[in-house]
Amino acid sequence: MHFRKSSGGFLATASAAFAALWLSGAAQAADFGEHFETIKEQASDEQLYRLLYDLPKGGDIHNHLGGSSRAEWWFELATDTERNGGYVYYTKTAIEDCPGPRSEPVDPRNPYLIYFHTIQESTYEDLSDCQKAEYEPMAGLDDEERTMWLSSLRLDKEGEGRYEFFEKTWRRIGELFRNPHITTELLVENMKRFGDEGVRYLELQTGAEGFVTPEGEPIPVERGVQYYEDRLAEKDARETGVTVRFLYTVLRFAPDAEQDLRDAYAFVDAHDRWVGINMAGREDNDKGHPLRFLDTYREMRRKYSDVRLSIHAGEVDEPSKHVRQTLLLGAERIGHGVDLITDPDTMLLMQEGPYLVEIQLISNQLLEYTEDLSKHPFPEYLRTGIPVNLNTDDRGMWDTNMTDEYFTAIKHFDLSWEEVVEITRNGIAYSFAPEPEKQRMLRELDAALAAFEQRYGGSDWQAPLQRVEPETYTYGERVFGLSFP
Amino acid sequence: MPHSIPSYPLRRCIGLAFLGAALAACSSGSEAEKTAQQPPAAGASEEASATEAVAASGSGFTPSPDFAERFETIKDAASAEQLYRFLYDLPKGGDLHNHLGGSNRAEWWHEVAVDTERNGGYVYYTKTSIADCREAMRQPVNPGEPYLIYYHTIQASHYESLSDCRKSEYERLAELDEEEKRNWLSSLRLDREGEGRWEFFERTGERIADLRRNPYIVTEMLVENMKRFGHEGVRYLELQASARGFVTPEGEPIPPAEVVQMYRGRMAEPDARDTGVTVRFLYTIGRYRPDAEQDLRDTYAFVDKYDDLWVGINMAGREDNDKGHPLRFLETYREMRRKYSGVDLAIHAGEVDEPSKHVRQTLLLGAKRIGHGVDLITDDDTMLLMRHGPYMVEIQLISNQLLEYTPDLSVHPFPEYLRTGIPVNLNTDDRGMWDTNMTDEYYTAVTYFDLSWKEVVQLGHNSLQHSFAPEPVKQRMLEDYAREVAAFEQRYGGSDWQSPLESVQAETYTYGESEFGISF
Repeated sequence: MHFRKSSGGFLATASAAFAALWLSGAAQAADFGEHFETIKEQASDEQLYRLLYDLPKGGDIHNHLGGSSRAEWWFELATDTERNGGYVYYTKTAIEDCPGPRSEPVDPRNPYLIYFHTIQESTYEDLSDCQKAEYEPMAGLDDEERTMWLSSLRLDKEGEGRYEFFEKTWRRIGELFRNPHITTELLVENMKRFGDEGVRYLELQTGAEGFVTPEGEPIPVERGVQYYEDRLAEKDARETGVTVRFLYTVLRFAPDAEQDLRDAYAFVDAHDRWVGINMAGREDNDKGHPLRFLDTYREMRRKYSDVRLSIHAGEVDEPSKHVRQTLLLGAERIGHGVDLITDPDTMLLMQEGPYLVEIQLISNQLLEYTEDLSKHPFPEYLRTGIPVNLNTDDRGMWDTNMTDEYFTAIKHFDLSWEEVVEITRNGIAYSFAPEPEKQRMLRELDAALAAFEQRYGGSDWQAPLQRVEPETYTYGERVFGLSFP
Repeated sequence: MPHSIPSYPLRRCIGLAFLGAALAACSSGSEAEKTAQQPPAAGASEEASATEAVAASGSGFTPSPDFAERFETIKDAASAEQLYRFLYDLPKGGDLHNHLGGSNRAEWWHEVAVDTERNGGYVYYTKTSIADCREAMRQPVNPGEPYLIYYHTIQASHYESLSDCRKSEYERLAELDEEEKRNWLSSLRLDREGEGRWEFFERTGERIADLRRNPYIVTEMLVENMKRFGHEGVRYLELQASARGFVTPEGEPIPPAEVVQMYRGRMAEPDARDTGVTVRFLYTIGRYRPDAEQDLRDTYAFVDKYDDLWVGINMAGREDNDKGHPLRFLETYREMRRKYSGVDLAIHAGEVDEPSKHVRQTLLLGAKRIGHGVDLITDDDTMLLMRHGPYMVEIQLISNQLLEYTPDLSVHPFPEYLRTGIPVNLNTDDRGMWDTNMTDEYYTAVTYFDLSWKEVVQLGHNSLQHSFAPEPVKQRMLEDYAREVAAFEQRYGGSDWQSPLESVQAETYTYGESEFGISF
């Protein structure tokens, strides 16, 4: 932050702790700033990607755990009864025109006409014979079906975008979400992968409700919490060095969302792993508009202290006051804020903090909020002093990692080293982690950044890149043309 | 445009009605004749006295105070069935918010689709099964043209272009068995639990598919609507209709000019003229399309060219798709106003769940009428701006209910608009998908909000007064309306209001049967 050329105003308002932390590294960073320009000019895309993969990246603070897992990981766990707690899964590979579903009440959120809807055995056993014939055991899919199943969880076909994501993809994962073994295994897989690319902190949107046994019996919420804690305590999770906290996310357009919000407050108040509340759900469903919840948030603030709020707002195509209204709800962080750019008063209000806009470039591109990323408001926010950072949102569906976000930001907007450092630090500084933990993570990040500057600050910046072992997934291969063995 | 209330002709016709000579003296010939006969100055000369009448009464229309009391008695004493018959018989003025593509009952679509003599020789197939065709599962995804949909109906030329696997999913529409036919009909209506906004916007239209591209079907349906609406006392239809996208049985595009001729030709036939219903069109743009600005420019040119039939422009498309938000079009409307005069605008706005400025922004676009305006109630400044006109809000109660904008009609803002002086009328929107008629709208309004007789007549009057029909046509319709209202008051004003109801041949469709429990 104090790297910013016009940082005087900010320093005055920033916490003294942040400022002090960086004074020691400042001089060296200024040198590295020039070096970074050289690297951007001279590096091939592959070299730049390696460099950014190796970059210490602070925190990912806008990340839906349910959307953070690659299709391959889901598949692997769904078919591995040793790792998944003994659950067996079936997926819909055919439509048999069963008479029942065609005359039953219509539920757009639970469509009959959908391929690769995945259910567990106890649900399968309850189906009619006709509907049973539509499902196959996951473990028995042939290669072509497996390829299609994997693709069905990603936005990787022409025409797939917002509709596919909101109305289909989540539905397909279906009951895999309800297995606490799979959820916690994938949590740790994410810690490992994100840890590999230098992410230190994950503030994941997830809950402990809705888990079921292999027999389909509900698992009590406290037992769900325990699954998380037990898995996080295992050696491989601890060895990632990644700190994990959760946000509890309320589906905003649900008819009973106000009650969900009250319940969420009570839950978060009782569980330290959960540091705050978020609200999500497609924002163009106007039934969940921000001011609907003002009374409920005020009611909750009369009752609870220290429940932090980060709320999706401005992830829309139309000029709106959603960001402003969401600050009134009490949010400290805004998720997306794509249309904040259309609201001058709120832009001015947010300059130089204390609120942060969580930026998700690839999400905004694939979900058609800013198809042309060259016009994304991110650089305007960044360069007018509105705090921002980079996050992955639902990287499982994009098939991306955090490096892809940094690579995208740098390729489109030619970020300076000062800006890169500010963004990566903001991911920790604006996290809702408890203060001592946050300070510890900032110290570690600063040390890692200093080491990074040291590593690539010499005249031969290319040699260390050879030791970096990055990975790209289908998005990186398709969009950047980069893949690593 | 100031209110131009035909106070003089109204009184004249009422007077004549009481003399028992009304029908002969005030009835009109075909609409074309009437328009031709009307001296151009007639409407203008009546405007001065009309303006005074507005200032004096607030409505410019004075239904009989005696009948107002009678109407209260009828509402009190009538059974549901009697009230329905009464309202079926009521003169209803115009339907100003009516998408021609959505105005047809499923049965009518089916009948014309399988009748090659009436439909121009087109043969149709509909999708009754899904064969998991791999090529379809792999091709690019188009949410607007889903592969996984039943009762997608296509013409033979389209069918022939399909792969063998996909052909196996379709059956000849004419050969459906009873159960499949019933399912096909139901698939075009919101008649199942859970069917609502999503089903309507994302599925129903897509099922009708190629039927909408047949100009014979579209014009047959137009006349069927004129007959049915005419039967329940609607005298004017301002339909949102298109002349683009039509194809021959071979799938070749039909030039819009030819389609315009087909509309004209069909409406000139005796059965159409006999309905006594005057028809004009609005050209409607899909607002969230990437090229909607260019559509708007093209549409201005089209409407300007065919201004005898197309009297204005509308914009539609689900408003919660924010890509079509109002201010996107401000520059284009301003550009068009530098080029064209005399193109009136009625635009969908405020058909949303969230407080917004869409109605206000849409007035800035130049709209004279607002379609729906459900969330206008949340915008104080614009509410005040709209009191006592000149803008009107087109109200569609059943549409708002079924599409989940006001699932509970008892809290619909309609009575607030009506009773604070914001001009409103009642319209059917897409009655084919609701399976309703205009009487259902009046019945709903009267039973939910206990409308007075003055209000009922105000609604009918507004529906003509705020139409975009040419001034002489509008004045003639207002005169006819006043005369019909007077005759209606006389018919039900005697001591026995019940016997005339016996001769009213009302009809309800599935909505009326399930919601009101009324069938005839």
